[in-house]
Amino acid sequence: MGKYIAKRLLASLAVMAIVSFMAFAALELIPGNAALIAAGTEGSASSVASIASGLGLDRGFMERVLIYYKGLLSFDFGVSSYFGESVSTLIRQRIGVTFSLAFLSVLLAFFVSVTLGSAAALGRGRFLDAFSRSVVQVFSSIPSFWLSLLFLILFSSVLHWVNVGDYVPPSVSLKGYLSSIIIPVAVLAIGETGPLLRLVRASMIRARNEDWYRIGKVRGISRIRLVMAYALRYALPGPLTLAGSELAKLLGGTAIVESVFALPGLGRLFLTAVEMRDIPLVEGIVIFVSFLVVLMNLATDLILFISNPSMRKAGGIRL
Amino acid sequence: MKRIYSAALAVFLLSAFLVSCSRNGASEEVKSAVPSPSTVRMAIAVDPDGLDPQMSASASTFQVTSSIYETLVTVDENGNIEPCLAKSWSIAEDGLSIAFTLREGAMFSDGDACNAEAVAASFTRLVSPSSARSQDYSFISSIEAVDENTVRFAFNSLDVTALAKFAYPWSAVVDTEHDESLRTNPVGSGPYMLSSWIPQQSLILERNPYYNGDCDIDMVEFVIMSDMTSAVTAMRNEQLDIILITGDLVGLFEGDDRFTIHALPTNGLQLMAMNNESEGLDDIRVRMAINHAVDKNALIEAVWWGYGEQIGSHFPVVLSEYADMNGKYPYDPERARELLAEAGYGEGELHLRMFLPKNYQEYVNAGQVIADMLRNVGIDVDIQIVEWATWLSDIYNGRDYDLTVVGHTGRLDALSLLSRYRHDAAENYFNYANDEFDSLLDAYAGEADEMKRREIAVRMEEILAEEVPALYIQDPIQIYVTDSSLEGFRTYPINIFRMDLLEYSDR
Repeated sequence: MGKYIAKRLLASLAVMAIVSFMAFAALELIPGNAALIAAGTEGSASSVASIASGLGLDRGFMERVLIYYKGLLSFDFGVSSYFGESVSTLIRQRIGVTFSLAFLSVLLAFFVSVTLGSAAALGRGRFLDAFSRSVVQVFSSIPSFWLSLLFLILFSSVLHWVNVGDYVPPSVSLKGYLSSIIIPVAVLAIGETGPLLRLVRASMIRARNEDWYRIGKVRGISRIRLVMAYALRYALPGPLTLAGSELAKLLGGTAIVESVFALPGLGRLFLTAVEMRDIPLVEGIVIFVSFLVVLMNLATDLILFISNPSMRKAGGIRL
Repeated sequence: MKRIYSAALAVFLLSAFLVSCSRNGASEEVKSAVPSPSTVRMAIAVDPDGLDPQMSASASTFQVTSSIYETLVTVDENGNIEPCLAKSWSIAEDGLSIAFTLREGAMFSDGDACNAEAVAASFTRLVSPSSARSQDYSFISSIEAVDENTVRFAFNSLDVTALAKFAYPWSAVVDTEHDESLRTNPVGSGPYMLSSWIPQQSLILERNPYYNGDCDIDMVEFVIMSDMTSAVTAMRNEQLDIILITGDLVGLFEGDDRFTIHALPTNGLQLMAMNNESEGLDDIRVRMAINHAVDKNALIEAVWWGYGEQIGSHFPVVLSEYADMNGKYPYDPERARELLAEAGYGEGELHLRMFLPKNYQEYVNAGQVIADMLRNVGIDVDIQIVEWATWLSDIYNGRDYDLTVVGHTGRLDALSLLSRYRHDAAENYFNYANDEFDSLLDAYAGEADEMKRREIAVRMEEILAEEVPALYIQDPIQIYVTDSSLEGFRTYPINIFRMDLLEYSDR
């Protein structure tokens, strides 16, 4: 088990090295650089040159890459060329927001999907099934930026339930924290619920058609017990894997919702970093997020192994 | 099944722990949302790019640094020079030196004296070759701290606009003892000092305890909100005191006595630049035709909801040297077609590439409206929307374009404003070249008589209005909404805010 985890983490190093080099190359190929942006349309040509040399942009491509990797060896992520703040500080300030959004929304979507999906599968063709398939599908088809705006207007302007742009960390006030992120979490969860719900419903229907389910029914096992103890275990690996990959996706993909709700998260920071050609910041976020994604996938796999004895054997991994 | 839930619960608890850990460092910096009576909360769209004014060219930086640092002189809302860190100044008779007398007892926010020596050190940093502004201040030949409170600048050549150059926010006096760390830990002699800055969230200023001038507001909170809908919502919930809005949103605040609307022309201008070396655009008749083809009133109405002052030359209406150059090429599509035909371009024969900067939605909108109007007179316009960094690199610096829509911020005098039209200027992305214009720029710099200087400025405006190296659209009107109990809010012809002049009437 420990060996397996170590192997996966080691592989993640290679992933991070490749991804970060690709980010370097991409930023080199697209036009514009941080010095041009700092000088803007009101600076002079000489200011571009002096800003560029201040940022080390006058060095060659490979030289800059090597200097960066050398810094990484001592965990030095460099200084953001746009904000002037150290990259690790900027990421540390934001990871809480993005992690909260991604994790809570997937958690919410997962439990809603499992409950609603199981119920829909059991009462196939009845009201709940039709409801979950239509209403949830409609809502999760709405683009998140538009749904965000609607929710923003409804909950903040009309109902005055929450304030905009006042992110409160949980260490300051748990209540303030929840009220500052509940709406964006709901927006993201709605988007995630669509595919998850469909998958849960399909797996549960498949479970119902299995022989052991019918036999269990014939033997008089209560329906609740049959679903909770057997069918769910049979049906969940698929949705769990999906939820895991959705979580990994969201860690780098909450930018739109963060922008609309003015939350200081990683996604919004990344957008700004690319727009401002802030190479150290882009690199820092890319490396950090790819590490998280590797970690999330690993965690998903471990949960699957724990929950399913047959997979444990099939995978040939001893826990 | 239980195991799945307990595993999920374990991950949840672990993550909750991680979340609270990761926020711990920042939590002390986060102020509670409850406003104290003398706090001003203002929404800004983007962060400053660091808080070292000498190393930035961005308006968002100066809007913040103008409260932290002081310049030797400053301007009132009409652009007249006023005392700031210097309480008085005297210009030598030959115009080749200025001596500033500093306000007594001025101190930096770390308690260091802001005396003549500190001012000289700050300007030495500004003009040094590694500074981003060295070229703008290359006219300074020597800087000398004469005594404790007097600093004298000597100049290479006569530049009548020299005094104004000590008012721009990038010339602010910084504490050079903190040279390297000013971007994140600014130290200035202004009314406020940095309390906390979490990029993309908020930037909070508190009183500089060593500031000896008048100031009513104790705390200034800049809230960074990139989305205008969020800012408007927050303003209407009274979570903010000052926001900048677009013309379509005025109705939300009109007639509500909780708010005051300030709609004032700014010192800036918006234009559609033409590459004067592109095929077709090198012919003045084609540029004239383009000017005839565009209905500026309709354009300003469509893109800015009518909030803008139409202009006919590269000059903002708020400056004293402004002359009205509208009406040289009135909207006349028929005349435009004739001129195009004279230049040898029939229907659909002139192909132009228009590049629009994606980050500025108003310029993208304006470009699309103009392109429609140009197609109307038979010009084939191909629109490409590009990122700001790409725009700066390929269009502005690379000059690989035919048409583009962009804005410029104003300066305090014609020379600084119009130097970009000098044929060899690096900023001359129009590729404009006119010998008479170049010699007028030189004449302006050496002309001590204010009336004659104005005549030269007007002549330069006229040349641009006639030769139209660009389509000059408008001087934008900026619309600020403030809490109606907040008094003293004004806009200035350079990118500064005077938070020290604000006060609440009834709180």
